[in-house]
Amino acid sequence: MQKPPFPFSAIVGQDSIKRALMIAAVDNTIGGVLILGDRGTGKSTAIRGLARLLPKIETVRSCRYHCPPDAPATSCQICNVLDKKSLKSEQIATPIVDLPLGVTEDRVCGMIDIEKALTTGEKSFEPGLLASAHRGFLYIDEVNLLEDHMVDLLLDVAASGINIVERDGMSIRHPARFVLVGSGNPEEGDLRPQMLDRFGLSVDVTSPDNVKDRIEIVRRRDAYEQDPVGFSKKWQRKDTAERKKIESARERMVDTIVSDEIMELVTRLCMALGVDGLRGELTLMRAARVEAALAGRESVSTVDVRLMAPMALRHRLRRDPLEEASGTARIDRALEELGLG
Amino acid sequence: MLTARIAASGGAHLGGVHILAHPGPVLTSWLDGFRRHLLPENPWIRLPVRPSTEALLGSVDVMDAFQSGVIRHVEGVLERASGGWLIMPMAESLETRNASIISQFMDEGDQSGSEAIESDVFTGPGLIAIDESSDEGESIPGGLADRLGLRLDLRDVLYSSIEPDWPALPGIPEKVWRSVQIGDDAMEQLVVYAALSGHPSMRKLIHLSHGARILAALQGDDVVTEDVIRLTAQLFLGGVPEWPNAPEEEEASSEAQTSKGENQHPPSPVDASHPSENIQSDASATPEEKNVDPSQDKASTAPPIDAHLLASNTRSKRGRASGKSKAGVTAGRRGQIYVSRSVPQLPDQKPDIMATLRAYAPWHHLRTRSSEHAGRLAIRSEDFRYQWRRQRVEQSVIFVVDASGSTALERYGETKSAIEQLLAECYIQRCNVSLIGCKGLQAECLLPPTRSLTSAKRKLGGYPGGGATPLASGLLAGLAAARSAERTGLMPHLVILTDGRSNIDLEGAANRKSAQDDVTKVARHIAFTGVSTICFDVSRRPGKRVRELSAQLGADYRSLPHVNAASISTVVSQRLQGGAR
Repeated sequence: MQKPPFPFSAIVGQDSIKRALMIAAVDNTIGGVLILGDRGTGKSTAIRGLARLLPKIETVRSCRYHCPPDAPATSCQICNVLDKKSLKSEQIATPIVDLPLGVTEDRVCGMIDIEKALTTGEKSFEPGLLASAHRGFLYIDEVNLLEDHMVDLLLDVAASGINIVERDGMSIRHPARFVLVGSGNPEEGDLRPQMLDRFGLSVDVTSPDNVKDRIEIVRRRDAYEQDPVGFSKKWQRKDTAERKKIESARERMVDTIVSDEIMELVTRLCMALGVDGLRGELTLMRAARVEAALAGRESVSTVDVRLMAPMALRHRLRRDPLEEASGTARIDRALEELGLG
Repeated sequence: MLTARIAASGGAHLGGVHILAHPGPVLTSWLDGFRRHLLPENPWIRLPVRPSTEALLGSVDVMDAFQSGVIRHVEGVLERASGGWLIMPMAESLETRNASIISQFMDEGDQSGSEAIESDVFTGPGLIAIDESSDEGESIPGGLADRLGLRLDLRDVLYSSIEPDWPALPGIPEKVWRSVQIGDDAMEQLVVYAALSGHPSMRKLIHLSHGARILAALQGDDVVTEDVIRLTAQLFLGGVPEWPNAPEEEEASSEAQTSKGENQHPPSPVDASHPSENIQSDASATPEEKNVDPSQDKASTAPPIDAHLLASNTRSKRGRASGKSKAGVTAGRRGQIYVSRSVPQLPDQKPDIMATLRAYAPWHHLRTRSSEHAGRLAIRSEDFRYQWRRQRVEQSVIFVVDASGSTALERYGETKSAIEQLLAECYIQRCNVSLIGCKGLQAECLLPPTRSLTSAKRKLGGYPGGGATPLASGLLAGLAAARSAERTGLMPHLVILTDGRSNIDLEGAANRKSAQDDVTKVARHIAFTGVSTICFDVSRRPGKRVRELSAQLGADYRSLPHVNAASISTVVSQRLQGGAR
C-alpha cells in the first residue's frame, strides 16, 4: 500500500492556503490557485492532502481519460464501444497529477505508443499527464521556473479545456479540464503576467511566526513519519468532515443568491482597483458565492466579498507597476473606501 | 567525526550534508571515512558535474529498444541512488533547474512519469553537496541548501590534523533515536536558534529536531539536554548563534544561550498566543531538565521570542537565489529546449532518440513489410529529430547620466521618466535597470540594479543637475557595474547620456585636459571589453565631441538634442530585444 499523504486537517495554520484550495475544489470553474511563498511552508503538503480528502469521482473502469460513464469522450477508445452495458463504472479518488520540472512536452500532451507501433504496426495514442489530470488537479511545483513553451501549452489547455494533439501522424482531441495549482518561491524568478492572470486565486504564505505553532508542526510531522497509516487514521474524521463540507457546499452553491447589490459592489471594487478585464470580477463573485455556501448562508454577503477580495484580486493588480503600495494594502484601501473596511 | 555518524544514522531523514570544502585530501578523507559508516549495499553514486535531465531522471535504453523492440526505461542517477547517498561535487554550479529536479525527487520520489514507484518506504537518496565556492556571494542553490540538514566546514582543517583511518563508530537505528524525548522548551530553543541563524524554514526545524535526538541517543540518553541542543546547533546551523543585543543583556552576553524553562516573556502584543512563563516539558523529560544548575541561569532573562524575531531573519542568509549560467551564450549546448526540428542546430549534434523514434514509428510497419527489412528498424534521415536550445539571458541596463550644468535640468527630468517607462517595459521583459550619475567629484550610483519598480521610483526622486562633471569616473563606474552584472549572469547594456564635456578627471582634479584624457582612456577600455553601449548626445547642438566619444566607446551614437522619454525608451528597448535573441 502506498504511504498515505499527510492529512489535510493535520496541517497547522496555513489557513489561507487551505481555504483557497477548498474553494477551488468546490467550484472548479474558478480557475486554479497560485501559492507563493518561502521554502518549507507546506505548500505541496497541502495540495496532496486535499486531493486525498476530496469526494470520489465516478468514472469508467480503466478508462485513461476519466470519462464519466454517461458522457464518454469521443476519442476514448475504451468508452466508445458498441456495447455500453459492458462498461463497468467505478469510483476513484480525485486525480492529482504532478507536473515535474523535467517533464517533456510529449509526456504532458500524450504521444504515440511507440511499442505498439514498432511491434504490431498499430497507431495508438498514449495519453499523457493532461489526460490523467482531467476532472482533477494539476500541480506544478516551482511554477516560476517552468519553461515558456510549457507555460504556453498549459495556458492554452487550461483555457479551452481541451487538449489537441497533432503530431506524429495522429490527430487527437480529448477533454482536459482540471484545476491548476501552482506553487513557487517568488525570490527565484517572476511569473509572467499572462500566467498570473490564469490563476483564479492567489495566496501568499510564510512559515508560522509563533513558536508554539512551529513546535506543533515538527511534532505532528514526526508522528506522521513514525506511523503514517495510524496518523492518517487519527485525522480521518476531521478530513471526512471537510469532505462533507465540500460536498454540501457544491450542492448549496447552485441555489445561493447573488444579489444585485453584491454584484455592483464587486464591480465597483474591481473598477477602483483597475483590474483588467472581467476575469477578476467573475472570480471574486464565484469565490464569494462558494464562501457563502461553505458558511451555510443562503445569499452572498459583504463579509464574503471582503474575505475573498484579496485572494481573487491580489495578483491582478498590475496596472501601475510604479505604484508604491503593496497589492493587499491597495485592496484593503479600496474596500475601506467602499465602506467595507 | 561526529557528523558522519549522525548522517549515517539519520539517512535521508536529515536530507544530507552541506560540505564547504576545497577538493583535496581533507575532503577525500572525510568522504572515505563517511563511507565506512555505511553498509556496503547502500548505493554511493557520484553525480556528474553538469547533468542533463535524462541523466538525473532516467531515459530510454536505446540499444535495448533497437534490439528487442521494447521500450525500457533506464534508471537515472536519482533512482539509482535511492536508499543510499548521492555525492554532488561543485554543487554551487548546479543549475537551478537541476537543483529543483533533485529537490522534488527528494520530496516525493520518482515523478518523471515513467513507471511510478510504489513502495511502503520511500527513502530518497541522502545528498552530500560539496560546495567549493570561493566567492562571497556564491553558494549552492537555496532550495537545495534548505533540504540539507547537516553543515560541515572543512575549509580550515589541516590535513596533518586528521588521523588517516578514523574508525567508523556504529550509528543509531531509526527506532532508537525516534524514541528519544525532546521537550517543548528544548524545541523552543531550537526554534530560536534556527531563527537567529536566518533559517526560518520548517524543514530546518525538523532536521534540527531529528538531529538533536540522534545526538542524545549517541550519548545514550533518552532525553534531549541543553548541551545536546547546543551541539545540534553547531552541527546543523554551523554555529551556535548569539542573541542580538537585548535590553536586559548584562550577564547574558557571556551566557549567550538562554536558560531553560525559565523564560520570562515581557508581554509582546505580536505574539499574544504564546504562553508566558514556564513551559512545562513532558513528564518523562522532567527529571533530566529540572537538573539544570540554577547557577547557570544567572539573571539572563531571555529576550522575548516573538514574531518579529522569527520573521525578520527570513532574508539574512540566502545564498544564491538562482543559479544563472554565465552570460556568454554558447548557442545550442545550454539553455532550454524550445523546439524539435529535423535539422540539427549545431553540426555535430546528437539526435533526440525518443523524438526520432516517434517520428519514425508510424512508418515502421510500412517500411518493413518487405522481408529484407523485417525485424529491423528502417529509420531514414528525414525521421531524425534534434532538440534546439535557446539560452535566455537576462539583461541589465545601466544608465550613466551626465548631470553637468550644460545639460538642462528638464532633460534630466526627461531622463527620469524615460527610466520609469523603461522600468515598466523591463518588468515585462524582465531586466534590471540602474542609474549612475556624474556629479561633483565622483560618480555616484543613484539606483542600484533593480527590477523593483517601487524602489526605483522612490530613489529617482530629487536628483538635481548642475556642477562639475566627472564623466570619466561615471564611465568607469558604469563599466564596473557592467562587469558585476556579467558575473551574475546578466547581459549588460550601457546607456550613456552626455554632452561629452568633462571637467573633473579621475583623480578629482578640476583639470579639463586631464579630464578629457581620462575619458578617452576609459572609453577605449570600455570598447575593448565589448560591452554593448549606446551613447546619446544631449548637448543642445550635437557636435562632434560626443560623436568622437562614441567612436572611442565603440558605441552606437544617437543624437537627441531634445531628449525625451519616448525616444530614449524606444532605442533602448530595441537594443534589449536584439539582445534577447
